[in-house]
Amino acid sequence: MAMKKEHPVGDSKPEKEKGLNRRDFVKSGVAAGLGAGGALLEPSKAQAQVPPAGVASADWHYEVDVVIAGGGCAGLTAAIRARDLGASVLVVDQNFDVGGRMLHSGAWVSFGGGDPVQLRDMKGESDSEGFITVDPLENPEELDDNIELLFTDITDWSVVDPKGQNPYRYNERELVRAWAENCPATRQFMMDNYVRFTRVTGTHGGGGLSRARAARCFLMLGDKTDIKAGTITAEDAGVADFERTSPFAPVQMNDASRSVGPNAVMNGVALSRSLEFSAREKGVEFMLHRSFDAIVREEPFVGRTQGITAHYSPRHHPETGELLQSFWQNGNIDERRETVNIRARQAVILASGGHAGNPEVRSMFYPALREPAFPTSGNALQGSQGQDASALIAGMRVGANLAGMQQNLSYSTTFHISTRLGTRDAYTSMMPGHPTFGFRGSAGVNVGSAGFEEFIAVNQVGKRFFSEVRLPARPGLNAYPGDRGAPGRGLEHKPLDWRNCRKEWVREMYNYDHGLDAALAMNEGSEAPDYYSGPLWAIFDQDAVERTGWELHYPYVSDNGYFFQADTIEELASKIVAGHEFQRVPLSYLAETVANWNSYVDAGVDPEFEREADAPMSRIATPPFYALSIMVIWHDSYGGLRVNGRQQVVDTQGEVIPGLYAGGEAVGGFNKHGLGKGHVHGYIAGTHAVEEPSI
Amino acid sequence: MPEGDDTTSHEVDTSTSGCTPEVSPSKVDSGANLTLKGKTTCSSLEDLRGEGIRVLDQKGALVESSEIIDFDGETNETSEFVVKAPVLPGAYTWVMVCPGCSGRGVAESRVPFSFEVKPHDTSVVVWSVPPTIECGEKFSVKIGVKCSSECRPAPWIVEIRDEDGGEQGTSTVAGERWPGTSALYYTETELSAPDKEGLYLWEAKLIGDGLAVPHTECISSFSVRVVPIPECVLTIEAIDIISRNPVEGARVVVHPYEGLTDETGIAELRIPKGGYQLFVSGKEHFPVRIDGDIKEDIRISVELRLDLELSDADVWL
Repeated sequence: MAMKKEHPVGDSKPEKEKGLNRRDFVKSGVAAGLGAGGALLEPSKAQAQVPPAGVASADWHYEVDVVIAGGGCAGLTAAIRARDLGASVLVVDQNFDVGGRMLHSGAWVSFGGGDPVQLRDMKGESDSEGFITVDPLENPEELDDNIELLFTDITDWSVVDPKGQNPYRYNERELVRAWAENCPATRQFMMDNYVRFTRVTGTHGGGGLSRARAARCFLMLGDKTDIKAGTITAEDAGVADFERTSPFAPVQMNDASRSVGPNAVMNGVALSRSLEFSAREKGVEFMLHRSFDAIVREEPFVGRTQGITAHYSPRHHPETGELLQSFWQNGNIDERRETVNIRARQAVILASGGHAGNPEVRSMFYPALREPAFPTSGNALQGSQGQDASALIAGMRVGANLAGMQQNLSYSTTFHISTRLGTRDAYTSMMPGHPTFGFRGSAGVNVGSAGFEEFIAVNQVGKRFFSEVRLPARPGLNAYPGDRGAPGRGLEHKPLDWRNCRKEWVREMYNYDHGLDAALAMNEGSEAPDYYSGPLWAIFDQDAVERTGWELHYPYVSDNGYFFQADTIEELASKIVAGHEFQRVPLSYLAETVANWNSYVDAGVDPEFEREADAPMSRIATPPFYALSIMVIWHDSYGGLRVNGRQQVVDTQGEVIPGLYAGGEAVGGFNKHGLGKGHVHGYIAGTHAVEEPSI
Repeated sequence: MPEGDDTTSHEVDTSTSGCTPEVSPSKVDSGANLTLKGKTTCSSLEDLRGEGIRVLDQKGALVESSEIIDFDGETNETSEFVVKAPVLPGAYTWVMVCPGCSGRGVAESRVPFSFEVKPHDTSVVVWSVPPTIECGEKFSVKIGVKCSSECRPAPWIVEIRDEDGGEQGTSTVAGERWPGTSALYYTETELSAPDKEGLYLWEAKLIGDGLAVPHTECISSFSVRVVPIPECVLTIEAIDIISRNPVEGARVVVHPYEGLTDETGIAELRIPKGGYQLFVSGKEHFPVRIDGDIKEDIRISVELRLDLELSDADVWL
């Protein structure tokens, strides 16, 4: 539990007398009505400055055994694990609620290596509570996994994906070995902390090709939301009203009847809220609205990690202006000073996410994505400081090395064009009902891939840049089981076989469309020094609306600068310029582009992008005319801090930075998407962090 | 003035009294609203609230006066007030008259300011042109006109001319507004197709002359595709590949011929003999392309695959 370094009024005991005895902390915390952790603070304490290195002991505002920056999948798992092993734990998160991106995820968690869910499904058993009433979805031989096979899969040099990239050969071997070895234990750990897993269905990106390893997380619909009982109300799950979600579930939960049985719902809510509930129940403390800034080390590049500094990052309700509050409050520390210094007696764990939300940092991978018009996924929920590269930046400042930086470009889904138009936050399907909906203002219109034939897509100057119907196309990735693009489609995958990357095979398999790159290309409106490509617009007319039935009303669209309607094309161009925050130049060519397009439709030939080969073309002629924003989304990060198999951060000399751990998207060298990576990292980091000597 | 700011400030240094008119926009539609605001400062920092600021036109006639309502200890300000711009296009210079600073005996100050009056911009929109028209056939189109100041039509006259400049028709746009628009007024006009097949580019031109409020002329082009009488009937049956249900509202296109399937998933196109490229697509289904050759009436069944929302598995595998 976090302990303040100042004394409450009337308490004459010296700080150290209350000191390091964990039981005493618990007692004083409970007495103060602050839950198991029970931290207090003096509001009169002077604000601390962010130090470049060591902070004098008198400047510490809090101290705990383990400080964790970030309350997402890696941070929350590490927190529970460290707490289970006896440490006092404080999680600092920039957001107002716990869960990070895990909360709005699909909760498809890929482990393997013979994990308990694989074994359960192999035997055809239900879960311990008897919720699962459907048969296993995978054959036993597809679930018959072991750690060696998993390790082989995720270091398989021979696999090349349809984008011509290599998902596994660049993975850090020690890191992924440890990950593979800890997969079964982490699955069990999560189940022990109220996480319920569906039947195993396939595997997840970067989880290897040879076995089915992924399961989703679910809850059962019931009269009451009760994590212990595994139930959630339809209102909390966001399934009671098609156009409404809830403060509990920022994204509506999905039907899980196929992989669990009737009345089961699934997504990141079932995962994140369950872990959060367990963490709070066990006495993990949270300091929310607080953005991690820097690691405090004895010297800038030498010595033990001592703690962190973090600044106040309050998020306010977009309509009422009130300070947003987490769904659950127990264990929260309401700290509002501008900057606080938090001492970690044993370890600091960096789990504050990746860099997809930081255009300056992500531009090292793709300079065109320095364009700030395109946010990372879940921007409304996470806020502007989500995925801000804070761990990477802070780590570099104390000498940390980086790993896997080129792996960011492997996944086609790392950055892509969304089929959800008309909203800045185009990755998620959040509806009104969650307090952060106002940050996006509209849910957007998901036109699907097929919907792209209904409009022309133009850049910031109003020019087309690619065949619209190919813009949303993504190459399928290698997968197992089944024949979803695995090497030797329809054939059993053989790891480490040179034929997997035989050039003839790769040529046949390669199917990447480069529309995304065309969308980010420089155009007449791009200006030095950044040459921003600017926003993208879907332009269509009333006939398209009538053909498709697109719902151009709230909550799908709103007057938020991402949807426009006008009587004429010229007026539409003017409205976009006046109303969109990143439209820096006039759409000077829009009227000409529409006129040209209509002439192509009349001629039946699109000489610019050969649209006539793929889909019918339609005139844009019937008023009113519309523009919906098209968003490029950078979803997640693979490059990051270098860590070893204990999740210890390693410096540029190959030496461990004492007391400093990292996991999840803060870490590089493991090209695996999502939760499966982060949870195991958190489990490993939490395990070893408490083995550090206490200072 | 910041780049892109359409407000113009004019200040004359009177050494004892500063009078500053603010005018927006600097280019205004004929007869449209012009927003003004007056500011004045006395070197004695005098509070002039309750005094009036006057605006005189180019002939010295009073246009408007506005009371000074704010004083921040240095500058006196009116609120923003709106006057009508002149109807006649051209450059204008008006005068703002600010009160004198009585404490120092300073006379009222007169500061000229300029703006430009322009004719109303117009846009002509032509739609509902049939994709194909048989030779010599009569057809109708819709023609709409939008004024930058959202004027109601006087009415307006639109001429339709062919590629050679020959008049094909004249239509009158009156006060009927097209649904879903703020001020697009329209009419429907019947025209006759040429006798020979081909793709023709015609023009719709708004005649701006003679209107009480000046409007710019505007021309909009549209295509007229004239085709011979088709010889064959292509019947399309669209069904969902999974459910086997008919797909209603699917687009059927054999360029330039097109249609929509009915509730039974059927669409009929009358097309000429010869090679064709058929597309069937929507609603929410991926397009299917079939190339072939038609010599007589034929029926084709097309299986459409629904464009399901991408699942995590689709995205991440």
